[in-house]
Order: sequence, then structure tokens, then C-alpha cells
Amino acid sequence: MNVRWNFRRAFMGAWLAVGLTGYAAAQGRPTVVVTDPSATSYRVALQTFEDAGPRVDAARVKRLRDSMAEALEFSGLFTVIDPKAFLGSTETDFNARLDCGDWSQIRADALVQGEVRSAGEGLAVEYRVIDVARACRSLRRHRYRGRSRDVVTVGRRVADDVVAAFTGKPGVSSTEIAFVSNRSGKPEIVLMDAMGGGVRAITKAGSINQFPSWHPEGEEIVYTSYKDDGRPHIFVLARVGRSGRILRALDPTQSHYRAVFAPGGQQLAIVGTAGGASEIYSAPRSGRSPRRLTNNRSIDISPSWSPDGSELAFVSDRTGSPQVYVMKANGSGVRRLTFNGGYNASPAWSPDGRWIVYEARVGGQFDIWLVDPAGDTNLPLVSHPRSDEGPSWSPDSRMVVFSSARRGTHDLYRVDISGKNLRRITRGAGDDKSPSWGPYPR
Amino acid sequence: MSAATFDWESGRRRGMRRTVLISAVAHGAVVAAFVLAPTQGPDRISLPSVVTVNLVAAPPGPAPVARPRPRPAPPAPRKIVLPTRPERVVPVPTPKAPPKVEEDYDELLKKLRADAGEHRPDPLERTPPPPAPSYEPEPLSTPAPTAAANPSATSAGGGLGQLAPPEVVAWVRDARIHVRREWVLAAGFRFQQLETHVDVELDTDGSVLGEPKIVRRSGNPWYDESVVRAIEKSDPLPAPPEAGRWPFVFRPEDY
Repeated sequence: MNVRWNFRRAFMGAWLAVGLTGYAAAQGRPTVVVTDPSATSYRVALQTFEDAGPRVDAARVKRLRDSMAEALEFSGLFTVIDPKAFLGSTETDFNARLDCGDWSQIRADALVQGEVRSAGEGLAVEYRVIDVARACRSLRRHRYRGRSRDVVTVGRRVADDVVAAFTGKPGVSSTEIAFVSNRSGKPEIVLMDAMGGGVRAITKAGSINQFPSWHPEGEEIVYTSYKDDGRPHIFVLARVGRSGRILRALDPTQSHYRAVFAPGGQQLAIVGTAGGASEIYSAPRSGRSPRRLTNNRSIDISPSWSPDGSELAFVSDRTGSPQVYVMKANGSGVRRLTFNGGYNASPAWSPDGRWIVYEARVGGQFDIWLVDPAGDTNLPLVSHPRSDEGPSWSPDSRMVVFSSARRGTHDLYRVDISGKNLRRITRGAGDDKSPSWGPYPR
Repeated sequence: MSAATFDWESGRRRGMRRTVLISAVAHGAVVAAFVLAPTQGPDRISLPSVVTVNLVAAPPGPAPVARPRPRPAPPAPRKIVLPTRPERVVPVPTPKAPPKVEEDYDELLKKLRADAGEHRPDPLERTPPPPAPSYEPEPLSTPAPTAAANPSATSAGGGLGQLAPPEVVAWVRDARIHVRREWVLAAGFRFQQLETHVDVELDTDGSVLGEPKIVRRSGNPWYDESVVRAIEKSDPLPAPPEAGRWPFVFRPEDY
């Protein structure tokens, strides 16, 4: 027995030696492959901005910090650390030496410091973003000046800039969302801050209004209204202060169901009627001389431009059921994009061009899905038995806003492209549908 | 006279009968003693068990001195398959090489360690071995092509060669989990085909020495920054098998 055991030990020793020698002889080490990051957010320490004088109302300084904190949380990328946990000061002092250990010990990834002062009628802030995890190096230092009554706007702008410091793209807390709501009785076009506040109707037509869509510069919104003669026509209104004007260059004897601005803002894709079927047209911004892009007896609706304006995604039932298709901007090269399920609609092309989000009927409900423009990857984004509908992209392509009746009435929700950070934005003030997320503010 | 003689004769006969009877009884007793003796044995044999019970019930005495445990018995006969194994461990085995080789290897290595006085538990005991081990150790100098050429292998086992020692396998797995916990990635990067290769200089205790060196960028600087940030937040990593430069690859998804 001992002889056999000793033989085995000797044999295994030799075998191990050969193995290790071979391993060492490779003169390399195995690669640690890291995928699927599991950390959900950066922990950010937000110091109260120092009142650098002329003196600013303390309540407004606090409101500035609170608005920054809310906007950072809204990004889904940051978790704001409770100041009670700070080892360092809760208030900024640019003259004091920064002790990185105070922030790394509370596991902060980022530190935001700043000063605020009155500047005439306005408010001026200077802030810097510290990357605590990387030896407290300064990621950016910036000054921003706003109107004094816009302290919340200033806070959101700073927060969006903090997001940009970590991702290369600003956050979207300063953007707006247009949607259709019947909270005043009739379906009107309503504007809202992306974070859910500041809701105000921008049409008061007392009629049916549908499908708001933003100009890429954010100054105009195109929508459909039945207010003139009980038939749908395309209207354009300035974002602030004006009532909508009809695109009179379009044939007033025809119904026009929907229009969307092309990325440059100089063209429109319009859904009109021809021979009893709905077709897609392209036209200059004035609506004059529309050019027909689709030509068949089926229904073609819901156009959405690719970010470079070279293609359009749209919905057609030419094969018997509504499916998402893509065609070139001149109407050629039509190809079918969706094949799962018998009803796919409302495509929206992401601003970064990587995805087309759409609603898909799965069983008896509509879910939100993603498909890449080549049609190679098709992924569910969100799902609920009460149906999720009408998706629209945030300008940074990280979030999708959609309408859902999960809580009874239709409310707006937003979700990260990863399917996480689902949040309800509107709360039961009526049926809120057909959201359109606006561009970055100028 | 005759009666007297008769009497004598009869008396002698009676005496002889008595003697014979006594002798027979005595022999019978001896025989009976031999025959019955085995049936009384267990009572006597049970005594030691009584003594044992009393010893256990006795009040505890001084702490017992640890006695060396007997050497473990040689491996079970089912594990004696060594002569066949070297044939399986070829430098470039086929992908069908059964993971059984590594299991047995681990068992034997554990026993060798036990013989050598090492009682460190083998981390591989806690989880099953990687399902699809790679058989080509990745050269440090050319990490990118190797990882790209064999993504399934690297994602499954961290690019480990079959001949990598189990402690290396275990460390790669632990390091991967450790860094993954500290890596924050913005949602927009999630489905992009980004890949950043980083060399990390590690001390024997897992401390990160200097700044991680990006040897191949993803093309997105913010993604690369998130990777470096993840490593620096992970400091210290689990203690590596040996100090030095270790290659890392970061991908948003396990594609």
C-alpha cells in the first residue's frame, strides 16, 4: 500500500511539475475577464455650495442643492450620500485642503463642490467635480450663470454636467417631455419637465389633439389636431407662448394623421391618405410639395427618422399584420424589421442610432421591445399585463419614456435602456399618452 | 457363612456401584461444566464495556493533548486512474476533454497538500469547475487577439489554460467577482461592443501598485475611465497567486 501511495505521490508530483512548468513557460498569465457590472450607481457626495457673496438667500442655496440631488438621482447613475455620513465638511470651502481620505472612507465615488453668488438679477455658480475613486482628481470645473428665479434650473444644469463628467453625455433632467393628456377633459398637448414637474397644457383646442413631435432644436412642436373641421390636420406651434398654426401648404381636403421632423429640422415625414389608404410622405418644413414615399393598398403609418436622416422606420400591414419596416429616405429599399408576434407598432429610432424601440403585442398585452436597425438583435425592455405603449427616447439614448395603465389610468414611465430604474413620472391626473421626449435645452 | 459371604459380596457390589455412581456424577459435572461454560462467557466479556461507560461518565480531566491523527488512508480504489490521465493531459487537448480530469486533479492535489501539512481549503471545493475551460494560456504580450479569438473560453474561465494551477483559477474567479462589484456602467454603454484591456500591477497582498495601464482602448474614453475607476475602487483585490502584472479585459456584456 505504502509503495503504491508513494508511487502515486511521485507520479502526481511529476505531473504537477510538468503542468506548472508548461504554465510558466507560457510567460503569461490568464486574463481576468470582467463582464456584466453589478454596481448600479456611483455614490456622490454633494456639498452645500458656499455662499461666496454677494449674499444669496440661504433657502435658495438649499434649494439649489436639493435640485441637484434630485436630478442626480433621476439620472439613475448616481446615489446621493446623506450629508450626515460625511467625514469632511458638508459645505464647500475651496480654500481648504481637500482630504481625499474623508471621501474615500465613506465610499464616495464623486464629490461635487461649488460656490454660489448673486450676480445682478441672476445667480452665478462655480463648481467642480472630483473623481474620488481616482485619487480625487478634478474631472471638471465650470461656471454657470442663470436667472435668479431659475435656481432649480441651475441645479439641474449642474447635475446634468456631473453626469457628463462621468459618461461623456449630459444628463436629461433639464429636458422636457410633450405628451397628450385628457386631464382637462379633451386630449390636449401638454408639456412637462422630464423629472415630472411643471406640467402645463400648450393647446386648448377643446378638440382631439394627438402625436406631438419635437423640432430637433426644441423650439417647435408638430402635432395632429381635429379642431378645424373635425378631420385630422397637422399643426405646428412654438414651444412657448403661441397657439398652433396649421400647415396650410398641405392639401386641406385630405386628412393628415401625423408628422415628425427630420433630424435637420428642415423636413417632415407626414402620414396622409391616398386612395383610401394611409401613406407616408416627405415634405419640406412648410409642407409644400410633399413627396410620396410608400405606395400600396395597405396602411403605412408611424414614421420615425434615423438620426442621420437617411432612413425611416415605419409600420405597415402589407404582409397582413402591423409590423415595423425600414426604408430609405426616398422610399426605396424597404425591409421588414420585426417578425416576432402579430402586432408591432410605434417605432422610435434612438438619437444615437443604435436601437429602434417599439411596442409589441405579446399575448393580450403590449410590451416595449428593442431591435437594432439591422434586425439582428431583438430584446424586451419592459413588460406588464396592463400594457406599455408609445415609447420615445431621451436625447442621450439612455432612457425610454412610455405610457402604461399599470395603476389604472395611463401614466408616463421612464426606464433605462438596460430595463432598470423604472420610474413613474406622472400620477393619475388623467390619461397621459403618446409621449415625445424633447431635445437638450439650448 | 454363605450368607456372610453373600453379604460381603453384596456389600462389595454395593460399594462398587456407589463408587461408579459417584464417579459418573463427577464426570457428568465436569462435562456439564465444560458444556455450560460458553453460555456464561458474555457476562464476563461485558465487563470492559461497563468500565468504558464509567470512564466516559467521569468528570472531565485536563484538556486532552492533541494527538496526531492517523495518516489518511490511501485514495479509494475508484480514484486510482492515474495511469490513464497523462494521456488526457496533452498540451492542446480537444475541446471534448472531460472536466473529470480537473476534478480528480483537484482531489489529488488536496491530498498532497494534506500530506504536506497544508490544511488550506481548496476554493475549488466550493463551486464546480468552470464549464468550458480554455486550453490555451493567453500570452500577456498579446492579450487582445487571444481574448477576441476565443471569447467563450475567456468568459467562462477567465482565459485559463488547462494547466493553470487551481489557485490561479480560483484567484481569477475571485478577482473577477470582486472587480465586477465595483464597476459602474452607464445604461447607454450596456449593449455596446466595447472592450478595454488593462494591465494591473498587483502586490502579493492584492494591493494595486501604480495606475492601471490601458493596453487596448475601447474607443470610448468614458467607458475606459469607468474601467480604470472600477479597478482603483477594487483596491485591494484578492491576494494573487504571485505579485506582478495581471491582464484584465472589461466587456459590458458576456458576448
